[in-house]
Amino acid sequence: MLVLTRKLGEGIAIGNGIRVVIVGIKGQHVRLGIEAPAQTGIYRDEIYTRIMDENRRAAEASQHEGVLAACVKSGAWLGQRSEA
Amino acid sequence: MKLMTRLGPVDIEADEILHFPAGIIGFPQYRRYIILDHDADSPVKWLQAVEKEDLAFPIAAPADFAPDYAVTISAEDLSALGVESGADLRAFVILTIPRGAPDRATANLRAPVVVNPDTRMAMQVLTEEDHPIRYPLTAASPLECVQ
Repeated sequence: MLVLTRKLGEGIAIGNGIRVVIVGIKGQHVRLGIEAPAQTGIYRDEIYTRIMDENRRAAEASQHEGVLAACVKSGAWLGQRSEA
Repeated sequence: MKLMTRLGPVDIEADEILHFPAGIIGFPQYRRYIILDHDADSPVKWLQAVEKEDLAFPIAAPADFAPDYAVTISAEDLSALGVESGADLRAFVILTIPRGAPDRATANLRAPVVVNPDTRMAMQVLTEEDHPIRYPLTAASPLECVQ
């Protein structure tokens, strides 16, 4: 991991079009300002990791879709239940 | 065009393809998806990667099981999708169905997939609200199916 020291108001440039600036420091908290192209996803690391893990788990369902097929055909899925 | 999918070969039109410039979180390399019906009666659909036959996510419209679900989408995300208001978007949530335990299926309400139906630009967003990542579907509608 590259480690850089920056002061308040200073920033770093990443590749073409991404800038990260230190906009505030208060005790243990650092506020970052980020400029990036619109299609660049920017997320807090801990939530990003959780969503990524959940997406991977969700994609595994396509490997055992027989189970899902059994579910939906039973009419017991989601809002279908009361109408079935 | 003919596409191989988890559900077998399907014929799709180019204008059915959804474009995810940033991909799905954790799968940045795949940017084009289509939505396939699981079957005609099912509220479950598949978000199928165009470039990868065995990558598909089960999805559902949140209105089918969480009628009060509402999300706030950041101005940056709205702008990336080319809309001024979230009312112009359609939302789906990704379902996680544990192997062998469909009665423990959950829906990720924190990171819905939103689509601009006019341009077919789409993205998985993180909602500003702290919605659950694993909302149990059984709370809304108990599942009685078995493997």
